[in-house]
Amino acid sequence: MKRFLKTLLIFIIPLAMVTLVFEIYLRTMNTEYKQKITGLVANYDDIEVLALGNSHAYNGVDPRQFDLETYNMAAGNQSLYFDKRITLKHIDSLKNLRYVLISFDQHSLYFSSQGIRDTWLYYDYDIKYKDKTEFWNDVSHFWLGYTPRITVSIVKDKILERFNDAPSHSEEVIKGFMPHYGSVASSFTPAGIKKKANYFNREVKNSDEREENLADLDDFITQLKKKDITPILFTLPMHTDIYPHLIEEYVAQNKKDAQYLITQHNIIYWDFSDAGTDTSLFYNNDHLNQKGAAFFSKKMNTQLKKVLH
Amino acid sequence: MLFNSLEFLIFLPVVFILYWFVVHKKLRSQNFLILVASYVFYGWWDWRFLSLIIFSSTVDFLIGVSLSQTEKIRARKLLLTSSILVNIGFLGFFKYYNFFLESFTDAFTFFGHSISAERLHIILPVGISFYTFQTLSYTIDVYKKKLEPTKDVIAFFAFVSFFPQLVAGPIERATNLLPQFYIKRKFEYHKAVDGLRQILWGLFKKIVIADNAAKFANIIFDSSAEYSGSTLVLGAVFFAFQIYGDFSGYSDIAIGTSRLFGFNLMRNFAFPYFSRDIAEFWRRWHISLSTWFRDYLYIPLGGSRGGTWMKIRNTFIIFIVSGFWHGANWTFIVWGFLNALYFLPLMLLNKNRVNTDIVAQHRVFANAKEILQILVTFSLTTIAWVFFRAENITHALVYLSEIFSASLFRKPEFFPVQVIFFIIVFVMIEWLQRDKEHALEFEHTKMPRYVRFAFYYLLIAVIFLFGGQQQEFIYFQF
Repeated sequence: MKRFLKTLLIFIIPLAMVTLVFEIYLRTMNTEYKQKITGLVANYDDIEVLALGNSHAYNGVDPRQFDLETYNMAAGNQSLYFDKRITLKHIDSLKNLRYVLISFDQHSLYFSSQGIRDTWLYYDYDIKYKDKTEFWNDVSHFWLGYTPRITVSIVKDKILERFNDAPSHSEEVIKGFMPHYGSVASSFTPAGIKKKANYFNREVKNSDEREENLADLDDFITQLKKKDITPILFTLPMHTDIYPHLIEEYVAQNKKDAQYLITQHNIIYWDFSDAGTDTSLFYNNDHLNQKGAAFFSKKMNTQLKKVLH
Repeated sequence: MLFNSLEFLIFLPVVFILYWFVVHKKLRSQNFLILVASYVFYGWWDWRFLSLIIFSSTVDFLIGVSLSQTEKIRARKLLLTSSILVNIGFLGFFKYYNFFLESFTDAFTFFGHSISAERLHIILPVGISFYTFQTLSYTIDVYKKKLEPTKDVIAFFAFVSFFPQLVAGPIERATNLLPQFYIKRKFEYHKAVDGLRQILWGLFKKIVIADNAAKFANIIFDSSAEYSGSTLVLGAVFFAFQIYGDFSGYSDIAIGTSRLFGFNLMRNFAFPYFSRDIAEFWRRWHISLSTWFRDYLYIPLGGSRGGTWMKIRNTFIIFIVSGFWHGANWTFIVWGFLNALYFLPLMLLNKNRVNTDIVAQHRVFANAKEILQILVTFSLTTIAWVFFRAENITHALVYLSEIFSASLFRKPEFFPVQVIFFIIVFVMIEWLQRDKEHALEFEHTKMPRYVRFAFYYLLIAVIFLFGGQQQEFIYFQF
């Protein structure tokens, strides 16, 4: 037995060392979430407009284009469930908050968990997804929280960034916003378009969460209004070619749900979903690039000014 | 509890430490620990199913004791029948109730009599087919006086529920496994180290090969109407590797885990995809089930003693029953029938025991004839796997008809290079190690330790970096 334990120990030592190095790296790295929350806390007293949503809003709402002090708290795959919890957690500290822009996309009502990102958000925002236990993910960020596969991909990206003269996105978030540069041509091919449409179709078809999420959003809007904050729904465009491939039944249902929220709460809805014809505004078929973000953020600012007057 | 889960990663070392450091002085305590650990392992899915396994164990233990107390043939037969009825009754109810109900309803409708019967929402207890056969082997062997009935209730209950092989085999014979519970186990360094290697290889097979192949097999089978024949061939091959990686991977982990506790389980897979004919394939695939059917069904039916026709009849019976054992669906029955059909020419020509050695033994490469034989055997089994995987028989037939159409020569709609690369590397490693018990057996190798360790680290890295999305082991549903 002694020999066995000794051999096992010799075998495990290199693995333990690798684990230690990555644990330290992951726990100290400046994640996008960390940057966003730090920025939010640092600007508690100034922020007047808070933008929420998934990657469409994260890459599409440029706070610099707004006249009011705006901050982008959207993130990749962020669900309405987290939009609500993030806002309510910090709402009492955001002294000047007047408007909350809530991204309302094709699939927004059809998911609440962000998969593995639930844990990343827990690490940096300290918000848990429902009753999900994060005990083991706290024990090891490397093996469980991020997983070795994602860790290696993060390290690889960091290394490649150093050698890349023309990065595809900003290295740091700007008032919570992450702009993408240029366009990925292959994304606009018929196959690329269909693949993305299928992704959204699968998301909505396989979900049974619509009613629960709609009720949660309903409650979120009510809570904002109680605090005298104006909620505004918005939908940024995807490339126009995607829409014909979406399941009509769900598109219609989404419109109905938006209409329900508008009439129920007497709120504003900015729907840009039919404005995605110019490919040069897109990074890929469903995300705006820096130019597109500036273009639509200016439009949103104009709309907001109308509300102000 | 899944082998490829965090829970098992914690469970295994805890049980190992308790077993060798806390309760190691008394055999009975070790057996009791195995029993408790096995019930925790099984109850992790659904603790309510524990009542079934406890009931089954109690019945067979008592029947075993009763068999030892009577020599009257009628009484002994009655006891054996009771055991068979109880065990097969449970299996039949949980696994086949709805199937028979639907089949009868369909049959009546076919003859113009519409009857209505309500399906029951029955949840199939995990591994019921495996432990039922294991415990049945005990009563049958005691009845046949091949085995002394045990009076050690803990040893017997631990034998029925032994956690490494409880839910997906290998299906152990009482004659092999039960006596191991009576003997004081000694920790053996080489056995334990080899057990760990086998576990690692099992995890590689499951997580890298099976789970990655599953992703594409599922896409292709689920939308088979959209793809060309060439893509459907890829889908069938992916499924062949999925089911092999999944099931043999589970067996490797089970055997390796048992070795850590001083037990020897029977071999369940012996590199079946290098078989040169279908008879050899079935001597190398799911060995514990094939030999179970041979010993408890084929031979009692007369085996090959009654001439060629008797042999053919019995072979068809065991293959069809074997198909039915896999699941309550006509697809499994056709799969079994098809395999029996493959067997037929070998039996008629009396060539079913030609290839009993290891292919290309003492050579690195196989010759052209062997390669051709291997490819033909693999193709035949892959065609049969289409029935195994398909939703229903129509789906399987349409799938196969599209394969054998002009679209076979079209470029596949997708070609996942990474998965194919891993499958090729996997086949190469298995080929090089085909004369061993498992592909990571390095018992008498002169390879330095650091090279072996480097290889293990590489496997671990590949498992974590390229593993597919976690899926349940296929055979849990059986």
